[in-house]
Amino acid sequence: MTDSVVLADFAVARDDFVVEVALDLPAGQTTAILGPNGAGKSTVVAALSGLIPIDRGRISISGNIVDDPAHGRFVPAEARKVGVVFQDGLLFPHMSVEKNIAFGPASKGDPDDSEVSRWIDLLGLTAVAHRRPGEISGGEAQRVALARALINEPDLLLLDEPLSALDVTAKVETRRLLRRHLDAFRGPRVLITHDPQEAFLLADRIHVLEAGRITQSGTAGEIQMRPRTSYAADLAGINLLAGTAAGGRASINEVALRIADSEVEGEVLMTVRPQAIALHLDRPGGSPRNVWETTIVELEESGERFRVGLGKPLPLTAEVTSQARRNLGLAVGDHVWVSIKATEISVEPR
Amino acid sequence: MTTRSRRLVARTPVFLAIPAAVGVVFVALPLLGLLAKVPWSDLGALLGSDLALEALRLSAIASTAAAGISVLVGVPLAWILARVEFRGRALVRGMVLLPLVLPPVVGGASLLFALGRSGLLGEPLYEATGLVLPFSTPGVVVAATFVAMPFLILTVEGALMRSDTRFEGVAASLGAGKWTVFRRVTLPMIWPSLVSGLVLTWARAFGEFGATVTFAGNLPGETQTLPLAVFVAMETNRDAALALSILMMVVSLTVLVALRGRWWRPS
Repeated sequence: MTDSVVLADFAVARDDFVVEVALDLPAGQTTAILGPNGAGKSTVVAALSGLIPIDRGRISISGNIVDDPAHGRFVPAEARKVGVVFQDGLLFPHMSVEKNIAFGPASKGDPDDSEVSRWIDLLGLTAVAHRRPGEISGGEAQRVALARALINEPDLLLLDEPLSALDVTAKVETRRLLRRHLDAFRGPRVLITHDPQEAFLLADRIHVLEAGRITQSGTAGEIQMRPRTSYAADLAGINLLAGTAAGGRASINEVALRIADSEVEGEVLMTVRPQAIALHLDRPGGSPRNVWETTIVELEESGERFRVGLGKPLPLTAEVTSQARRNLGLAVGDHVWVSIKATEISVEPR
Repeated sequence: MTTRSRRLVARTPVFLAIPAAVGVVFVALPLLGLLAKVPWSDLGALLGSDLALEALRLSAIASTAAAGISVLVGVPLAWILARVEFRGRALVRGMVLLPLVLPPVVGGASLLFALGRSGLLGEPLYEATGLVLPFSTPGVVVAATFVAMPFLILTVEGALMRSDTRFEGVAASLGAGKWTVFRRVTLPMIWPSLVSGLVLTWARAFGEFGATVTFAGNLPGETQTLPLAVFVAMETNRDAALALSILMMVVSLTVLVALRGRWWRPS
């Protein structure tokens, strides 16, 4: 496969607003399009994959112009080589797992059984190969959807909310697997998501999409450092940490955190939602948590809630309700105890 | 009492059970009345007569052909009505369903004016091919199709409107062309409704009377289907009429119970 690069600069009118984006998707990179529900993310997927024509602009994939209304050019989805993995999998309900995966090659008159079995094997689907989509788990369904898209050797891979429909356990497992296959896929990858943790952990570059426009682009770190909109600022609240993991523990500088995943090893990225960080005046007891003492270095009101900046040994941002802040009497310079459940720390190998 | 019937009793509120029972009785009563009068001892001879067999054969051929044509024409039409927005869609949809509410006699008369030897379409057709549809076996098929096809269109259109078009998008993104998408995704997903519609269409065509007698006439061996034979026999031979009626009921009920019950699942 050549190093395909996607260049897209287009506008699509929706009922309520115009989705207008410019994307440059390099091969071998995962680009996240991160935005709230209704921001136009699915419109971007539909336009790139050829399910809807664009109104203005141009899309080119691997040097071929696939949509250019000014010159009357439109290559439909079936001729585009864009693989899409949808939120709820959208597996054909009347076909077995195996037939779903074989759908692309069979449609092109090239049913290659050994290739199908290779993908079934690669994604650990041997046990469910002959089941119908209604009889497998959500995580398995997403793996089938991924295999079904990848077996076609697409020039561009689109993942539209691939983890949103999964429960927490399946999410972690599938995210890990997704990560591995994204790395192995050499074309450009686009991850569409409303979940900043997903974007931070899986993407090389992030575009924040709000009401049809890209309001900010950059790496996770850049967006965290300088959020440009209030939506991005909300995302920025998410704690992103780099460290080293081994045996169910992750070390960040000199702090060792308990993590739920005991198998992950080596360099990792971690995210912790600010709401998942609990603050106490006295040392909390009980279940396996990460507990340490720190000082409040910053306190910022945002609506009904307060952002609490925590100092050494591990700079984190916590979030508490205004009421909790009053009850605890939190102020800058105070000493507090921090506790974080191991399961609230999302870990992904770098 | 079996578990199932116990459950039925336990779960059915009285205010629903009573009207439902009235409904069942209302439908079953004529059937029972018929059964009570059937000359059971002569049944074999009455049904074995040439006239009866000929009418049964013609009815079976005509309704099967009508169901086949309805699928070939009705499925694409249903797809367009369900999936394509165009000016006048409401009018087309109304026109297509018109035979459902129109008296079949009116349908047969309009067919005669359109397809008769001096009709709008019938005249050029006759001049070009020498084909005359009225009062011929193909005319029986035309009349039955006209009356029965709306059942297929209605069922399939409903299924297409309920089905999730995103699956078709997925199929396209996997490289499937329009025909492959239709054949391997759209059709299998509406299959139960298609079969259900097909059964209803066949059964309606099998029982068709008014349009047939108006457009195709009542020629034994050529256009005299079972319903027409019953009508004629009512005047001349009551026992034969009863025997033919019971035959129609058995055939129709068998088809409806066996096929419709098996395929039709509310979604």
